[in-house]
Amino acid sequence: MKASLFATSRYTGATPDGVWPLPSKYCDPETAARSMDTTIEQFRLADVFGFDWVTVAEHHYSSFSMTPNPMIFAGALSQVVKRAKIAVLGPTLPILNPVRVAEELAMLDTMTGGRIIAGMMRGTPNEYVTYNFNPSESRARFAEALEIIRRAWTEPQPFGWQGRYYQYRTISIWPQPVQKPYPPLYMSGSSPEAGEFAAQNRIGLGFAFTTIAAAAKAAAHYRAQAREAGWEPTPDDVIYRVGIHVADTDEQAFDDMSRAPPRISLTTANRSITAGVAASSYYGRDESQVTRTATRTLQDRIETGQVLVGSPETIVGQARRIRKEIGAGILDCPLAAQLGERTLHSIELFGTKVLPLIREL
Amino acid sequence: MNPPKEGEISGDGMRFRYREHGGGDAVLWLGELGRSPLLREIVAKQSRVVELAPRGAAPAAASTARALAEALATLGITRFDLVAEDQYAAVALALALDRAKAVTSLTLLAPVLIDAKGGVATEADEALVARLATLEVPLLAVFGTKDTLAPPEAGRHYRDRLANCNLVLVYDAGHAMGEERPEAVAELVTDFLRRRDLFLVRQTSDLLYH
Repeated sequence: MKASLFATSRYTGATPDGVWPLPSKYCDPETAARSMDTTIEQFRLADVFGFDWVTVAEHHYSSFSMTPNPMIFAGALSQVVKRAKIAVLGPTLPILNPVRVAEELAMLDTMTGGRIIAGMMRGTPNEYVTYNFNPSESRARFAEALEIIRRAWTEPQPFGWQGRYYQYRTISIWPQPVQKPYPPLYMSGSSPEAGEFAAQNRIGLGFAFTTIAAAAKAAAHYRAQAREAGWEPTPDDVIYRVGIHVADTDEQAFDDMSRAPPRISLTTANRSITAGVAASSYYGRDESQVTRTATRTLQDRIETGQVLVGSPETIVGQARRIRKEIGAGILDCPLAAQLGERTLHSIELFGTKVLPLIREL
Repeated sequence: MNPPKEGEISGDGMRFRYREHGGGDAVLWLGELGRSPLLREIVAKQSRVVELAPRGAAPAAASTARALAEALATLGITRFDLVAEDQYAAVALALALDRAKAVTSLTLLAPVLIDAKGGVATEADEALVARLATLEVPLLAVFGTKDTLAPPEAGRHYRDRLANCNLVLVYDAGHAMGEERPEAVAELVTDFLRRRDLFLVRQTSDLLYH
């Protein structure tokens, strides 16, 4: 297995819980700057301690993740993270200009000498409110935007685009990606539709903040669809995103978690938005998404594979289960507890004690 | 709008069926008569669309183009925009090369002449393609992203060989793009016919409210 560290650039100051959009009056610029510095240091350590990738993501109007444009953060990381690949997981494709996405990822691939992983996301439901897009059109916009991006990365001559949602009279991006034909592509989604699309388009699939059981079912569907499309996904084609906190002992890890700031849910923080998105066709045939994020105890969340907590040995056991039941070859690991030195120690333990043991899984 | 006029004209011993509708500057449309009707109707709202197709099997592109030029004279058409679909691309290019002053723009929809690897099928096509570098008429080449007969990857070779070629891909359309996505193709074609190369610069407004 491979592992990626996902430090979300969470705001370290005090903010109210369960609110989205979070009023910007709570944002102290100096605290925000310190929070970003902390994140960059966590990524630097991940690179030093052998993580295969580091992950940045796009979220809006929240203290959970102050990277509304993950490309900017990835650009900064290109100068700090010297070895690991930088996984942009990713731009929320349907609400962005796809040509701009193609340009920025190609820039990053050039700046990193070909170390970019390109995740194409449909985003959490609240993102559709951010830039005022209809969530029911998200899948169609996603599919078209992805095709524009692939062609922008491979067409040697300028070309125009007469689409359903996008229109350009001419596209010819500079620079082109270093990786040929383009950086490894992933998309996210537990829904059957996502698995089918990824399989038909021969791209990797990621499962985020879900359960092992749900991801295993979705991964099996993805593999079956891929076989029908004439190819066999490898473990590297499947990402499982799950929060981690590692300590020297299980007891220490649980004690740390009891002192960690509360989790922030983007998808359930605003009931009007949750209901509005659910009323659209956003979730497709994956109705369980609506309730999957319901609050559970830490022990429940560990058992269902929603978070990995414990000593290195315990974490290895949990990772083994993910590898076996989902077939995932890549663990994408958000930091489950932002606790200063304890978090840095968790990164070190994962890199030095967990990674060497999960490599062979 | 008046109903289409239909008939038959001839030139240089060849007979052509024609179907004419709309009004304004002439657009000579080479393709099967009556195909993609909505697309042609939309174009006919701003132009005099003269659909033409050879009756029976057509000879080589160069001789068909000569015959076509003679036949057009019988309709009183001396200057025109030219639109050609699939296999009629070769005739249209030959006509544009031979009658450069008569053809004011050329639009190729799903052209079948140069393949995805830049090759052509016949020696006659090779001779035609070798002349394309001299063609200066504003040109629009349109391919559907799902077209397997005229694959979108062929488009780059038209741009390689033609000085004034604008290439546009129509998303989610196959070879019959004019029937699958008529409004999308019509917007593109009418804008190009109206403004030629200036169509690169958007003129429609994004203003929401005054």
